[in-house]
Amino acid sequence: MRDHRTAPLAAWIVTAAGSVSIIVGTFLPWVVSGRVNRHLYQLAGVADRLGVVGNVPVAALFALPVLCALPSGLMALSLLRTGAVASLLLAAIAIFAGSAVLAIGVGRGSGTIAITPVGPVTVAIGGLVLLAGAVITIRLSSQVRRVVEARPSS
Amino acid sequence: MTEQPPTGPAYPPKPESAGSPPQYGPQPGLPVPGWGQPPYGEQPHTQQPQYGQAPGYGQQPTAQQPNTPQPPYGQQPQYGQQPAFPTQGYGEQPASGVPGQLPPEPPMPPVPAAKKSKLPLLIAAAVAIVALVAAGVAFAGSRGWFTASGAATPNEAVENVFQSLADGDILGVVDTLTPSEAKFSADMTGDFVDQLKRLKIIDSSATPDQMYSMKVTVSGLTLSPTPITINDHVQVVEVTAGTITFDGAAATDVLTDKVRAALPEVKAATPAHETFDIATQTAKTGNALRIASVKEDGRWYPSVAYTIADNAAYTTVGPDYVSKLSPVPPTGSATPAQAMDKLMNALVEGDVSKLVATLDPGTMGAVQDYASLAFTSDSDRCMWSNGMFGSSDLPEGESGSGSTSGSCRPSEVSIKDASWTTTKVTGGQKVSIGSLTLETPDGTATIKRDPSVPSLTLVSPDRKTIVISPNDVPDFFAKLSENFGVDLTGESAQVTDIVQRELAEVLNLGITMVQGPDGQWYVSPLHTYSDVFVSLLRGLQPADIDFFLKQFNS
Repeated sequence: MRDHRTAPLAAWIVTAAGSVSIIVGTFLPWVVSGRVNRHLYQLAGVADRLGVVGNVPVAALFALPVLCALPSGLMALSLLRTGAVASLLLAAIAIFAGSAVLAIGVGRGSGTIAITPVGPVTVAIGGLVLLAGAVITIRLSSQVRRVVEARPSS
Repeated sequence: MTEQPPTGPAYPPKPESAGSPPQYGPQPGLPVPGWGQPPYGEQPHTQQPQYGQAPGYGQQPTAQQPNTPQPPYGQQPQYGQQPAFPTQGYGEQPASGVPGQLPPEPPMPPVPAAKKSKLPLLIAAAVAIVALVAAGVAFAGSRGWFTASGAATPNEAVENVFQSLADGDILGVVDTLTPSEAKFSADMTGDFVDQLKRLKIIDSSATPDQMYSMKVTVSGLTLSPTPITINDHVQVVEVTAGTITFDGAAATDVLTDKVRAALPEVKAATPAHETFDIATQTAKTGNALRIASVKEDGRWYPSVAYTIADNAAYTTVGPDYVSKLSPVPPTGSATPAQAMDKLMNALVEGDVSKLVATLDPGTMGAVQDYASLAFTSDSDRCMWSNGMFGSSDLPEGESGSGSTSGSCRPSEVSIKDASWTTTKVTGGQKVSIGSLTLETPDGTATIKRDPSVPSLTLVSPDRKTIVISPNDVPDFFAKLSENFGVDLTGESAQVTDIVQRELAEVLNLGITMVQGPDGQWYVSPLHTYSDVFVSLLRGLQPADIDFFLKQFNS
C-alpha cells in the first residue's frame, strides 16, 4: 500500500528540482567572450545596453526566479493542477530557450565571442525535469479527482 | 449471565448478494492533494459512534472516515458483541449521513490528537526559502547587481577596460565604454556587417567579433592614484607605467572565397606585433597616456570621445586647459523634425555654439564640453561673419572678435518654409527634406524631394528648373558620351546601374536624430555618418562587388 503522502511529495520534489535547475542554469555561463564567461543576466544587461534586443523588456527577465518558485509554491498550497500548468509553461519556456540557444550558437564561428553550452543545457534539463514534475502532478491530480467524483454528494 | 440480544433499531436488511460494497472514505494507496489537510471529501473527526456503541469505546482512526473498516460481506458482529470499530454493512449510510435513518447519536468523547507530521512545515519552509531567494535574485537583478556596467571610480573603469583587453573580452571592452558610445559602436558594426554579408564580401555566418583578430597583452600597468578632475562628470586617469603588446592580423577567415581569390595579398598579410612601453613613450613625448572617464548614473565609464578631446586639449592648450573650458549646454527638441528645424536655424544664424548645442550629448558631449577651446572669439564662432565662411564686413553693432557670446551675423539665405520626412534608422530617426523654401538675395528658391521616385527638384529664380533623378542617369551618360567623347561602352550598363542605385540612396539621405536620456531629440553626426556609409553600401549589389574585383585585377 502506497503512502498517500509519498506521491505529492515526490511530485513536489521533482518540480522543485526542475525549478532550481533552471534558476541555477541562468547563472551558469551562456556566452564566453575571450576568456570571460557571462551568465544570462549579464548577457541580457549587455544586450540591453547595446540596444541589440530592440524594445524587448530585458528587466522582465529578472522575474524569472520568482516564476520558477511559482509551481512549487502552488503545489504546496494544494493547487496541484494550477501548479502543474505553471510547471508546463515554465518547462516549455526553459526547454525552448535552452535548446534554441544551443541550436543556434554552439560550435558556430571561431570568433572570440561564442555560446557556451553549460548554461543553456542546464536550463533545458531543468525544463525537462519540470515537465516530468508536471506530468506526475497531473496524473496525481487526476487520481484525486476520480476519488472525489466517485463519492456521493452529501 | 445470559447474553442479551442487541436492542435498538434493526439494521437494514442486507441483500443476499450484492457484489462489492461501495467504499467510502479514502482508498488505500491513493494520494491526497496536500499535506496536513484532510483528503478530498474526508470528514473531520465529528463522526459519532454507531448506535449501541459505548461512548469512548473503540478508538477512532484520526485520518479515516468512520465505518471505513468494513467487515467482509455477510460478516456480522457477534450477537451482543460490540465491535472494536464501528462497522457499517452494505447499504448503510455513513454516520454523518442521511437524516432520519439514525437516531440522534451521543456526542463523541474527545479524541486523542494524532501525532502531527512535520512534513507540511518543512515543505512550507522550503517553499518560503525558495521564494525568498527567488525574490532576492529578482530584486538584485532589477537593481542591476548582476549586470551593472561601469565602475565605482575612474581608476577602476580604466583598469576594467585594460583587463577586458587582456582577456580578449571584446564584449567587455564594448560594455566598459560609456553606454552611448557602446550603443553607437554596436549599431554601426551591426549595420556594417549586415551589408558586407549581403554583398557577399564576408561569409554569411560571420559575426562582428570575427572581424577582429587581435591579441592584447597588458603587464605592469600603473595608474596615477588620483584622477584629474575636468568637470563634475569627467575625470582623467594617467597611465604612468606598464607595457601593452598588440598582436594583430587581418581576419581573412571571414572573407568569402571570391574576395580571398581576388585579393590574395590580404591572405598573406604579415601579422603585426607592437609593444608599447608607456614609461618610455611618456618620456619621449612628454605627455602621459591619459584616459578620460565619464560619470553616468553614478558609474564611471572610459570614453573614447572624451579621451581624444582631453589629449587634444592637453597637447595644444596645455595642462591648465580646464580653466578655459566653457561648456555648451545641449538643447534638445520634442521631435526629430523640430531638432532639424533647430539645426537649420543654427546654420542660418551662423552661430557654431548653437549648432553644437543641438548635438547628441551622449556621443558628442565631449564636443559640447570642449568647444569653447576651439571657438575663443566671434571670428571662430560665427560662420557667416568674419569667420570660417564669411567676409569681415560686419554690420554695425555686431562684434567681430574678443567675445564669445555676441550674436553672429546671419546668413544671407533664410528659411521661409520647411517640411521634413522622418524615417526610422538604426539608433534613431533620419530626417530628410520634404520641401524647403529659401529666401535668397536673388529671390525665392525651392527644393522639393519626392522620396517615391526618388527625385529632387530645384527651382531657383531666373534659372532653369533642375530635376535630379536616377531615371535620368542613362540620358546623362549618353549626353556625356556624345558631348565629351567619353567611351562608356562595354561595362556601361553596369556602371549606369550602379550610379542609378547610388543616386537613389543619396537622394534619400538625411540627418539622423537620436533620443537623449531626457527624451529629447538631438542631432547625431556619428549616426548620420554611419547611415550615409551604410546607405551607399545598400546601393550596391553582390554583382557590383564582382565587377569591382574584376576591375581591380584587370
